[in-house]
Amino acid sequence: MIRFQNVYKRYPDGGDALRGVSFELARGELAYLTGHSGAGKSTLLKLITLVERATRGSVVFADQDLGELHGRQIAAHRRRIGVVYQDHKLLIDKTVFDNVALPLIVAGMPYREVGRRVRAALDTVGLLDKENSRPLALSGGEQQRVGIARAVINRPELLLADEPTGNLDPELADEIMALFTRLNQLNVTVLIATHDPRHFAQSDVRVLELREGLLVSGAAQPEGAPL
Amino acid sequence: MKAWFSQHAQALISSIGQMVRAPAASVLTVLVIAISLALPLGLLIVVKNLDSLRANYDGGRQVSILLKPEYDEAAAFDILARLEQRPDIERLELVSRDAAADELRELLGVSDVTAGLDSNPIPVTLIAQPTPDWSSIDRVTELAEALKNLPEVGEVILDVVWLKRLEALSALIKRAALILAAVLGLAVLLTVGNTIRLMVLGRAQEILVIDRVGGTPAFIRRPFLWTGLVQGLLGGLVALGVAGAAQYALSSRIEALVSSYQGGLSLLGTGPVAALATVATGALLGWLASWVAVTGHLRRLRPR
Repeated sequence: MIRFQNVYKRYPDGGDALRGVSFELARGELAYLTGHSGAGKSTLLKLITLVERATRGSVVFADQDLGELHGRQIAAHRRRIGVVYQDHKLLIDKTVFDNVALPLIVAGMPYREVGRRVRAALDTVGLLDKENSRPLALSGGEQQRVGIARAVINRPELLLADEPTGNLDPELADEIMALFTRLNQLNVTVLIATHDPRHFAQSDVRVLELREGLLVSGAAQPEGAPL
Repeated sequence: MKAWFSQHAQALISSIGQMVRAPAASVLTVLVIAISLALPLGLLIVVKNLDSLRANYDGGRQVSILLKPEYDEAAAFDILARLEQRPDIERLELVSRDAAADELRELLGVSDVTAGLDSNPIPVTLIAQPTPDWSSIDRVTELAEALKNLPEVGEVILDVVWLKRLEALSALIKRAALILAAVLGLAVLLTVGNTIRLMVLGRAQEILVIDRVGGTPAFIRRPFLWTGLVQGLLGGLVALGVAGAAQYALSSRIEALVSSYQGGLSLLGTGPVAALATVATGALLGWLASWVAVTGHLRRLRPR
């Protein structure tokens, strides 16, 4: 599904965010991406969503080299990926419904179909009764669930989460992580960036660890990983 | 295709909503566009009326052919019959010596202008009116030169001074209108561009999120382009209203002034083509300014 081949990313200020990162993530796999602040986790996710481009090496998504995508192709690529952000990136002047519907509107889906899909997504994250609320009227956990509903509404092939529980208390964080596990069981490939080892300490999921831009563990796919 | 129309309809409704929510800014922008379009439009209307005045000024296009003293009225009729065959002359009028003396007497207010003279020295005159094809200054002058070379002709009088003045004035105003239009067009671009840029900054988070969830640049640009286009369109319509009101306010005065010289002129208005062009120019400038403003912002969102 995703293949990083000797990827380097250097920012204009001269900082090396990633240094020779290589790994592969199979379709249907769930993996954690960990490391301290500044280790390169967010940069790695930005390379997948084409917010940034690799300085060297190649990032391949579903057999497509992302370095070759431009203009409208980038937009089409992003519609295949769902992203959950630590700060949710919700539009505060729009309702929960409108926020979740955004990826479908952008994709040009008919409005009747949009309504059906949005309510199904809100039902999945347990927020069906909040569709007319504004994001600021919701708790942090609820806002994050709106973010997840928006990320999965397009039935993405890959779900990325960048510190999705960073602002949540432990109980809510576990709830959100359980939601990711459920989505992965629906065959969505999931990559979660977190610096909190508590989420994967007790499980046998794959953990990719970055340290100062280097991938120090988890590069090799575990045996029995989905293909 | 249906989705495309639906998205445009949504973008149009959204942009109108944005303008309604910020009425002061919207009205000011529309007024700036209107004034910027009304000024060159007003000058172009002036040019149009000057051209019309010049075209209708028969005096400037008439050629007075003064025959040599030895040719009397009978000979003049033969010459007139010959000149009537020319394709460049529409009509000819013969002014006899006596008729010319009467006219002069009336003009000078004296009882007998030929008193004390052995005979009436005023030559027989033919007044030629060129065909419309030969009405330009160059062609009338050319005609006058040709007539001057006829053996029976003593002198040819052509009053093109006023025509030349009007033509020069018309050309000057036309040039000024074009320069003004270019400068004010740039002002419209900057004004609308700045308004849209502020709108873009106010909606930066929304644009970022739409970009991240797969919105194409065209999708993001669409509501802003509609805003610029609608503001330009409204500005064009208001400009037409301003020009119409100015024409209404000035028409009676100008017609009175012109009639004192020539006897009557109906002031020309904008006309359908210029009206359409004004509205279209406003819409185009608004659209272009928005496109530049939004594209500049979107460039910063491209992957580096």
